[in-house]
Amino acid sequence: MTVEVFLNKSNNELQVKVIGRFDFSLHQDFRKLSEQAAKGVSSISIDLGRTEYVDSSALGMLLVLRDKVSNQQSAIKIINACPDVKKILIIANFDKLFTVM
Amino acid sequence: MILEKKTQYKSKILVADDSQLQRILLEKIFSQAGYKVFVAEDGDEALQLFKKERPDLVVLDILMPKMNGIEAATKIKKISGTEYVPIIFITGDSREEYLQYCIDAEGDDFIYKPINELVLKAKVNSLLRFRQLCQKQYSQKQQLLEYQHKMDQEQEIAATLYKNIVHAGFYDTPEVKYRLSPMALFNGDIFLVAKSPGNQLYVLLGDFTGHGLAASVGAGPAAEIFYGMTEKGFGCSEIIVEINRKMHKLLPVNMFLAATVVVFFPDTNSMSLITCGLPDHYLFNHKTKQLQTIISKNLPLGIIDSFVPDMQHMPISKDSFLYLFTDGVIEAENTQGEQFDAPSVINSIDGGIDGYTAVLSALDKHTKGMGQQDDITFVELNCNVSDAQWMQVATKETHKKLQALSWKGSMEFQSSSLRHANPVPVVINLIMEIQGLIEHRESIFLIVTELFANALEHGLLGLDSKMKQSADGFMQYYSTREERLAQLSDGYIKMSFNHQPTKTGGKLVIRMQDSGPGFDFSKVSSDLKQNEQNFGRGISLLFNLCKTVEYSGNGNRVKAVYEWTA
Repeated sequence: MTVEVFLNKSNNELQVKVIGRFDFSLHQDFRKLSEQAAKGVSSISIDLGRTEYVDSSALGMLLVLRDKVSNQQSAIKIINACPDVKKILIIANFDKLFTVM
Repeated sequence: MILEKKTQYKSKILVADDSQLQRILLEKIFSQAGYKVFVAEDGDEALQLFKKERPDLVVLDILMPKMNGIEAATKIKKISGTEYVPIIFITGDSREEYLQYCIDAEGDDFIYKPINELVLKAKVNSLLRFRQLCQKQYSQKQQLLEYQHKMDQEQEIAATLYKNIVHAGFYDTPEVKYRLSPMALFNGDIFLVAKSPGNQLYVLLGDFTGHGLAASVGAGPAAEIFYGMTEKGFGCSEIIVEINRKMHKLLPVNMFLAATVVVFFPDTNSMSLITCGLPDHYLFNHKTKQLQTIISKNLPLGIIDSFVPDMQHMPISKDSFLYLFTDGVIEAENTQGEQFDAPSVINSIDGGIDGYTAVLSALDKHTKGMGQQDDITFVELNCNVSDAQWMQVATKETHKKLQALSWKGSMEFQSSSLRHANPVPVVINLIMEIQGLIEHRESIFLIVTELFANALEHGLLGLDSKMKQSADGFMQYYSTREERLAQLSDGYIKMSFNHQPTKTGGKLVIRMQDSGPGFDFSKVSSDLKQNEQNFGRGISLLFNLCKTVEYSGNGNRVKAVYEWTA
């Protein structure tokens, strides 16, 4: 379980990649990430292409991130999620809060 | 240790030897090294001194009168119990059987005569250090035990309080079967059942993020709102909105409550659901073997500030059961790390008449040999409302007999206010304030909601119900609704209410008029016959609840009459 973070300086977008299980164990990484996000990024893209599993604490972490950036649906993009992971996001209706692609 | 430095604590050493020369020598060595020394001439005296002074270390000669060193050591170790007091034997004899005695008596070390001062001091030093470590570890362990004991006590008290709050209004009836297995003493899942004054059954299943104490703090407030508002006759959307508001205020950003509220309406053989982030629910008819999946349509509670719930309304058959569960059920892993998964639930439900037992025994089989990984709640609701036991038991009379009053009033909402808020709850509250028709609240609420939705969606926004025929269209319908509403620049909806007493109770006439182009209302009745479709349910519901429903004008005026008996 790792989180890779890259700041695209040209458009001030924070690019995040979650690898493995996305659960409570990434708590610290996401705390750091939200601090970084709060300092002012224009948008965040979260790549879940290599994420195997998302639990409710992960959903909570996404909410914290959203709280730190902006409540605009377009501010955080969730990309490449596999069908299983996407289903969890859809059950929680997170597509209303984030741009799920 | 800090304490010793502060008080200049000197370790105490007890020396026992029958030779006076040896005693003087040992006393001198230890006092010069900075220890406090006590001296005994034989084993018996050593034991008495030990009891009195509780030294940190004991040096014993083996051969002594009255009580030898071996016997004294055994007794000292017994008195010390769990406290570690090192014992060093002094011996002139190095034969193995001799040493074996010392070991049997739990001696910690030996020193041979003639005594080498340096070796003795080194041994004493290291044994005392070891004793310090043991003492530290022992006191920490005691502290932890004490702390744990206190925590257990506090948790038990809190758990009792929690249980009392959450179960205070719980309405137990055989039509509601459930299994709650919290992972810890506190449950992050909540399950609430209550009956409304209008004799409707209200059920709430919820799952807070996480588990244990932290997850259960929101349960009390949620339960109080649910029981309190159900008792007062509020509708499920108002209850959900209120719980959402409270959770949003109460919970930290990363926490939320995934929940579903179900209301059974015996009068119309139907149910309403507001689904907020729980896994799919299944409505299974064991006669036709038809299984309907009910998906989550709303965000979990506590995430956003203003919440406009998307409610689902559907007819229920007496042969149907509704299954609700939290994600702990489908995510439960077996020893191979495979999840129980939704298809396993469906297969078990499908298999026989008793889906409840089938699912739970399949789940138990699946998780055999595994510790529980999350809170697990599984619920079966029997949809046979007409024969239900909860139906037979009259709701306790909490309201005095109603006196029908004569009043009327009307309101007009312009596009600008329609864009911002749904006026229906406010209007209903107003009617309740005037007439106090609390037992009929849910019905009146549904009627006004349906009339208003028709006026807004079809009249002003020009949406076609036929869009809802397919699942995709259904979603598209609501997204188009949102888009068009945001852009609505003119138009209005007028509502008027006229309430008059009748011989048996009262009559409420509701009129609604919109500025839209209207529709061909002659088709309404034919639509009704196709009750299987995704649309048209609203109108059929209206016909069920109202004495009459009449369209007029070019279809943009409707009059609904609701009658009640006191």
